[in-house]
Amino acid sequence: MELTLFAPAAVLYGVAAALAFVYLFSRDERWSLWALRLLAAGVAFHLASFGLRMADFWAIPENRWFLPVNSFYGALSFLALSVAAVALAVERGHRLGILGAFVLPWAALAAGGALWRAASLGSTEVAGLVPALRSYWMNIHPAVLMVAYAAFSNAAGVGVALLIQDGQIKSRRPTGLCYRLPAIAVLDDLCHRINAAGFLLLTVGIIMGGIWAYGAWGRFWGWDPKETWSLITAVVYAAYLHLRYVKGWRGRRAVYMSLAGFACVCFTFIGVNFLSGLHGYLSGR
Amino acid sequence: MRLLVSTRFNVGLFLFFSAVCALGSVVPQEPDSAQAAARFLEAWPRLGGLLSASGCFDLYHSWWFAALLGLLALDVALCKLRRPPPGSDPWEGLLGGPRAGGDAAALDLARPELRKKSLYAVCDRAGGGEGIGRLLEGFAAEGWRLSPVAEAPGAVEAGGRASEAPSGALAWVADRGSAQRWGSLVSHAAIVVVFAAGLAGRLLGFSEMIEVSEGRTAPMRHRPWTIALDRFTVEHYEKDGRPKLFASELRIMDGPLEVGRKRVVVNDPLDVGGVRFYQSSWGVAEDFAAVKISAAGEERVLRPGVEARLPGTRASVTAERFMPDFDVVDGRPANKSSEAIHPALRVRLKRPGKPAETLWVLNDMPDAALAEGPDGSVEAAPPPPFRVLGVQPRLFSGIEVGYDPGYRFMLAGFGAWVAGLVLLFGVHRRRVWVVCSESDGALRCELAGWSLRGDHAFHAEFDRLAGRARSALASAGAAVEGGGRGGA
Amino acid sequence: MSASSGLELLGVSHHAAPVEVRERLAALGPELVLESLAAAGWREAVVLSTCNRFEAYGVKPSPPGARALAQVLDDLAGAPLAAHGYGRLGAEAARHLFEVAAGLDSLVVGEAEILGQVRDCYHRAARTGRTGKVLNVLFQRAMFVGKKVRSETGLGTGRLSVASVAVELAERVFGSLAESQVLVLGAGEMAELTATHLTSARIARLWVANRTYERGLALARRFCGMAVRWEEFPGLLGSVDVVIASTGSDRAVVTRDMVADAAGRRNGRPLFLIDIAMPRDISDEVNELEQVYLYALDDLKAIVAENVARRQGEIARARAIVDGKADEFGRWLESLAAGREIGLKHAPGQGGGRAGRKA
Repeated sequence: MELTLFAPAAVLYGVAAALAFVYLFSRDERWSLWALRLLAAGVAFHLASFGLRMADFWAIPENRWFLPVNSFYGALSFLALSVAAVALAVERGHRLGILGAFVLPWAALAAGGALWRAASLGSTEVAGLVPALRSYWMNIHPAVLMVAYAAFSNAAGVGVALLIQDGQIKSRRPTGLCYRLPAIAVLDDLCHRINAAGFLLLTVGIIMGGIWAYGAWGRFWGWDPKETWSLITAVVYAAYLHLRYVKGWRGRRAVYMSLAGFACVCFTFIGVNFLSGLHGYLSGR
Repeated sequence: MRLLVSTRFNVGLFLFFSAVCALGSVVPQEPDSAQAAARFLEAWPRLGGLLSASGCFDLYHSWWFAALLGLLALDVALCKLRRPPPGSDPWEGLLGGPRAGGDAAALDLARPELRKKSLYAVCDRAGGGEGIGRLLEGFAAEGWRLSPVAEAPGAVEAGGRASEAPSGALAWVADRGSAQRWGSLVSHAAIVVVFAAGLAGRLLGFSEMIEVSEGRTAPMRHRPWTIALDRFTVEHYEKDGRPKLFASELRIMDGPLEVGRKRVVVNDPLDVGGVRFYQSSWGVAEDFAAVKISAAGEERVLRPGVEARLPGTRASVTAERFMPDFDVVDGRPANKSSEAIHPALRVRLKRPGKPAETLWVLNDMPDAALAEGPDGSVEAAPPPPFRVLGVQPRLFSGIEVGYDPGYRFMLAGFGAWVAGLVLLFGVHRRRVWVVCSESDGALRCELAGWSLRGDHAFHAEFDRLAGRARSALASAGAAVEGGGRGGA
Repeated sequence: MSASSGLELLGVSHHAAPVEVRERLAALGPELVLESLAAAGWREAVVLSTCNRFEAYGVKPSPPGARALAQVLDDLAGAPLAAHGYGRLGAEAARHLFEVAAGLDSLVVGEAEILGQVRDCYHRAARTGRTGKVLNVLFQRAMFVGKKVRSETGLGTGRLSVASVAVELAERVFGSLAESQVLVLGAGEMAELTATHLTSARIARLWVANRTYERGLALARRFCGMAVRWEEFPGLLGSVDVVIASTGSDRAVVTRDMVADAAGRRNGRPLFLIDIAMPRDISDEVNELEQVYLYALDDLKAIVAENVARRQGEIARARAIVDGKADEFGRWLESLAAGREIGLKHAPGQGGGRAGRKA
């Protein structure tokens, strides 16, 4: 039942991303308008499917009242929702609908990944929470981190737009795209502010994880691959921020650092699942 | 020393640290899975040998990793120690870097720089300097922190051209959001506190893992206490068999005195004066509560170590020991794990007229048995004259005991870290310099603005402040010109 | 197209009419002309008066009883306009107005100002009650067509002068130039022209550095800027955002080292250099530096050439839109005359409704 509402959401994200991409090359405002509308519709469907999921999840008494992110499907779905929500907030707030082409694909990818996972398993992985996860931290720690990942993915998209715009202007033969993308200074500022917000959330999320672990197992930090890689991500973004504020790194170089950080985010979310016993959805342990 | 605090070194150190951490996540770590590490070593002997020698199979606890962490903490501390305290330089944002000479010299250097700021405004007024007070009041009224900076004595100035001889002037600097400057210091200091608290916890605290069987007690090593497990509960979800609940009803005894009692579950430990007892794991003990056997059509319940007569014979049997996961290793019986995969029971059988036999009865082999000789080795033997119907195992609970005196400091460090970051990114630090000079009886006030977030973030507010300043000056007397910003 | 629709146009424009004729008509003032037309029996009238054209749109009452448009205007102007002017009827009048609104008839094809002028002239007439159903719909459609052409074709985009291309590129780097400082090297004609374009785009401050200080000062004064001595300009590279070089020097005056040194003081903020001098004032290697963007005269001219070519292509597309909408309007006029009014389609977001709604 949840899938009947989630599948349209995933499709809407994909179509919105495609429309946003077309808008990059067409002059017609309607592409962008519809991309944003479909995105909003996708978010609405997604929220509805999430509501259903929570109802299913809470049917198991031990699961009340926690967020259903204890499985790969649940986590991916929540991530897609965060990315889409952050994209709506940022792009609508800044009236930079043109950036949809760079940001929406991530939401579509995450949602598509969740659908693929559900299809290959044949279920949406609604399971009871194991004892380690039955804590109020379950509702805060994963959520904060996913919003941080959503912020980083948005910033990565903005960074790619910046690379394109910088290439356009540096080449001295700018095409029509140059005049439609936002200015370099605007993109640079936006990218860094989203990254800073993401960094703050990431730090808070890691700290929450430490405090939760202390309450559950008596140690703040255990060098589990997920913990380790989230720390690596934080350190890489810290390097990015240092280079920007102290060394004045902006433009291309800063975007490369930002993308390196985003690669770490992707690994932290996906790759680690195959490595980690504690946090791994897919490691079979 | 200078190398240590250079940004290049810092960033390099960060990236090196990241690479090392990443290495530890892909090389199998012994504390997690010794078997995986052993398998790796077998598969790649040369590489494995190299990794083993350098401690990479337990990377995060190796001495050099600890040294790396220490270097990071030291670096963080040094970087912040060498910077001047926040808010001490009134010309920050206008003049770069340290300079020699006093305030007056700095003012002379600063005045031509004012015009180079994009956020710049000039107010002129005929008559004396009465308006200045009102102008400054306007800033103070809006919550700016004003401080007089310098007074440069000098000759009367002439004209308003871009390059000119500096002359008599008064300067103030108005600051807003200067709390932001503490953000960097606080968050970096907090990181050092967190490291130190972690180190203190590691050195001064302890942790031990105690397995205590249900109904039994176990002593602690680091404290003269005993842990008693009165009842242990395990529940599983019916749908998929995943664990649902582990709960241990613990009593902590200091001699005859009870110092703590709680039903401990995961995420809800027992705290006894800072020593915390966590529900960590569980298993099937090499112990049992009772055994049910049947012989000659009758059932009997055997208790551990209690000899009982076998019905239908004149033999007696004593159930001695239970192994949940029985295996023969080097010819001897050994328990492989605490999961009931290959249950086996050891009994002592005494048949009249025969010496006592020690037999192992295996769940997997109901029609045979293993006889254990005096040296501990086993060999095949005929089955005993009874059948084991069931064993009521005793469960044990794995209790993680930890004491971390650095806990409070760690939490304080975390709080300060987040507060510092919020200050660092959330507070908009900006400032306005006001430099007033007189010539031919006319007063000229120059305002220049600076914002941490860039000029565009301060533009509108600066324009408004300049307008207020202009009207403050004008209301104190006739204005010469409305003043203007250079450009369109 | 039957003349019974009553819609007529008569006008003069820069294409054919000499300046004096246009001036004479413009001097009359639109109110006077509107009054005269009303007095002459025209049921509806709108006057479009800009510096390049003067057009009167009118709707005759039926049964006809109004004096000819040409007669009214000739009387007002005091001279026959036939030789210099043009007249249109019905759908052709609509087609002409749509072309004008789209900017196809302007001196600078695709210019945006004309649309605002059309709107203002229409509102002036509408406010005094001189318009009725036909002209209300006509001008609403004209503004719709003008917007449509500008949003769907590239007609209005692409600057056609080196100076405006440079300014537009600077805006692509910095966004708004309102907090940017500009340094002009040299004080000649090109420097002045570019400074004009820049200051019209609202900048924070203009600096001028010229070998001869007094000339630089004179230029700076004209634009409310600041002059510095020639030797001091490298120091400014750390704080300005845009540099326009157009000295008469035969060697490069801005070297790579100079810019690299300034970049160190800029803390990563981008620097945009425009070199419109011939021979170049800024050595080309400067473009290799991070966060530095250099455009020379050739680059800018190439962009202008591209824009001109593209605009030509866009003209055909714009004309197609205009024709389509004009034909549609023509059908509507017919249907109105036949008593069975058809509906006119609007694109979403353009604001539905026909008469009396503002564009």
